[in-house]
Amino acid sequence: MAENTDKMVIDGVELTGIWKEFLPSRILYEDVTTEFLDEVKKLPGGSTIVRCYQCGTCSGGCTLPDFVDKFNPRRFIDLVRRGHYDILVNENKDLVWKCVSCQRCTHRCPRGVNTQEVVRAIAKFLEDRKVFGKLTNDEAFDEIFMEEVIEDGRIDEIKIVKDFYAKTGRLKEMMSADQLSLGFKMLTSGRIKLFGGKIKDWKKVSQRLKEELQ
Amino acid sequence: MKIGYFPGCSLKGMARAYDESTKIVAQEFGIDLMEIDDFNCCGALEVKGSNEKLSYMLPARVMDSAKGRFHVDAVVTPCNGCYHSLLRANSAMNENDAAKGDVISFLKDVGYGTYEGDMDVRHFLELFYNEIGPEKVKSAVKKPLKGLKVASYYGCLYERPKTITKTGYKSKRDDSENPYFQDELLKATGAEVVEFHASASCCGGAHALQDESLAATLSASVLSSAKEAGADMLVLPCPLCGAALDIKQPEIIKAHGEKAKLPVVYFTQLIGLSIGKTPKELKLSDPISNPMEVLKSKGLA
Repeated sequence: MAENTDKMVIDGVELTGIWKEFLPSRILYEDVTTEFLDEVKKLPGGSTIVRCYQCGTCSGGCTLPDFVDKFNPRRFIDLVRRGHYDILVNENKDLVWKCVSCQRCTHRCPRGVNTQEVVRAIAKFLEDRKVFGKLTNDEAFDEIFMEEVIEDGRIDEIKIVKDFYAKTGRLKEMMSADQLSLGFKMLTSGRIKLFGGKIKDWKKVSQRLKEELQ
Repeated sequence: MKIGYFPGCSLKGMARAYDESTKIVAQEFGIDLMEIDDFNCCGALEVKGSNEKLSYMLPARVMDSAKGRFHVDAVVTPCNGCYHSLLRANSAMNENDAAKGDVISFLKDVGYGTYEGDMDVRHFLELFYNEIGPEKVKSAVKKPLKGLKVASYYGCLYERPKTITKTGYKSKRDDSENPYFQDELLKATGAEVVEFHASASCCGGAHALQDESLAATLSASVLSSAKEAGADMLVLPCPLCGAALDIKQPEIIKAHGEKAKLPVVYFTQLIGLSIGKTPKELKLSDPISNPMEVLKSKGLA
C-alpha cells in the first residue's frame, strides 16, 4: 500500500500512515464505552449494528412513531453505540420492545443493517439486564414458543394462547364471554383440533435441539 | 407444475379456510401441490429472537424433507411468516459458512439429508401470479364478482425486507414498496379494487398477544382505512394478518368502534368463488368478521 503512505499535514500536524485510518469511527471517543455494544453484537440478530451510519432512514419509514411517541430505532442504536446506558434505560426501555417487526427499516437500510433484529437484540439486552423488574410479555411468549416448538415441532394456537395467559397471570381473561364464544365457534367449526398432528421422528430432532440450547 | 407445499402451523389451525381454498384453487389451475406432511414450525419471530442457530435449523429441516422425500426443487407457502423464515434460513446458509455448517451437522445428527440452502422458496400469491396470472383467471371466471369492492392488503413479510426476499434482484418478485400482484388477480375476478393507502402497512399481528392495545390500534388503522376507501371487504394473503384482523376483530371494534368493522377473506377464497366453487367448499363461513353477509347481499353467495 505504498501509494497511501505519503506524508500529509493537517492543522499543522504531520501524519503518516494508511489513508483509510483517517476515517475515525464515530463512536471512538475517549469517554465512550463499547461494553454495551459488544454485548448487543453477540445477541441473536445483533451483529449488523456496527454497520449503522446514523442516516435515519429506519426511523423515517418506521410504522410506530405515528402510534408510539418517541419511538426511534436510529436513536436506540446510537445510544448503544455511544454507551449511553442510562438514557437507554431511563428514557427508552418502555419503547424498544414495542417494535412490531414490520421490516420497513431493514428493507430500506442502505447499509445492510438488519434493523428489526438489531432492535429486538437491544430489547433482549435490556431484558437480560433485568431492567423491567419482571418477566415481560415478550420474554414470556418467546419462552413458551421455544418450549412448544422444541417439544412438539408445531405450534397449537389455542395451547400457546392459553399457556401465555397462564404464564402472565391472565388466565381469567380467557374465560370472558367473548373469548368463550370465540372458542366455541372455533371448536364447532373444527378449527380447534383436540389431537394435534404428530411429526414422525420428532423426538430425535427435539433432543438435538435441546442440546443446542445447553 | 409440481411443487412442495409448506402450509405452516396456522393453516392447520385457525386459518383452515386459507389451506383448503389454496388447495382448491391450485388444483383447478393445474398446480400440483405436494404437501410436506411432516413439516415442523418455521420458528417464526420468537425463535429468531431467541436463538439464531435454531432459527436456521427449523426451516432447513422442512426444506430438507421437501428435497429428500418429495424430490422437489421448489417449495411454496401461503404464509408470509413461513415465507420469511425459509428465505431467511437460505440467505444465512448462502452467505455465512458457519451457519451453513451448523445446519448441515444438525441435519446429519438427526438422520436427515444434506440440504445446502438451495431451495427455491415461493409465496403462493407470487407463484400464482407468475405461473397462472390474471389472464388465465379471467378466462376461468364463471361467476364474476361484479359489484364487490375489495381492499387488497399484503401485510409485511410478503414483500419485505429485500435482503431476504431479493426483491429487485429476482425478476418474479412483487414490487416491494407498492405490491400489485394480488390487485391484478382480484381485478381478473371482476371485483373492483379500491385505492387503499395501507395495503403494505403493518397490522401489528406480531404483537397481538404481547402488546394487545398497540396491535389493536394498528389493526384498526388498516381496517378503517380500507372501509373509508369504500371497500366491502379486506382481502389478504397471510394467516397471521388473518388472525390479527379477523379473529381479533371483535376486540378491535370494542376498542375502536364500528369504523374497524369489515369482513376479511383470503384471496384464494375470492378466486375460488369467481371460478364457481361454493362458499361451503371455500369455508367462507369461517371468518369471524362474517363475509357471507355482504356476499349474499351482492348475490354472490
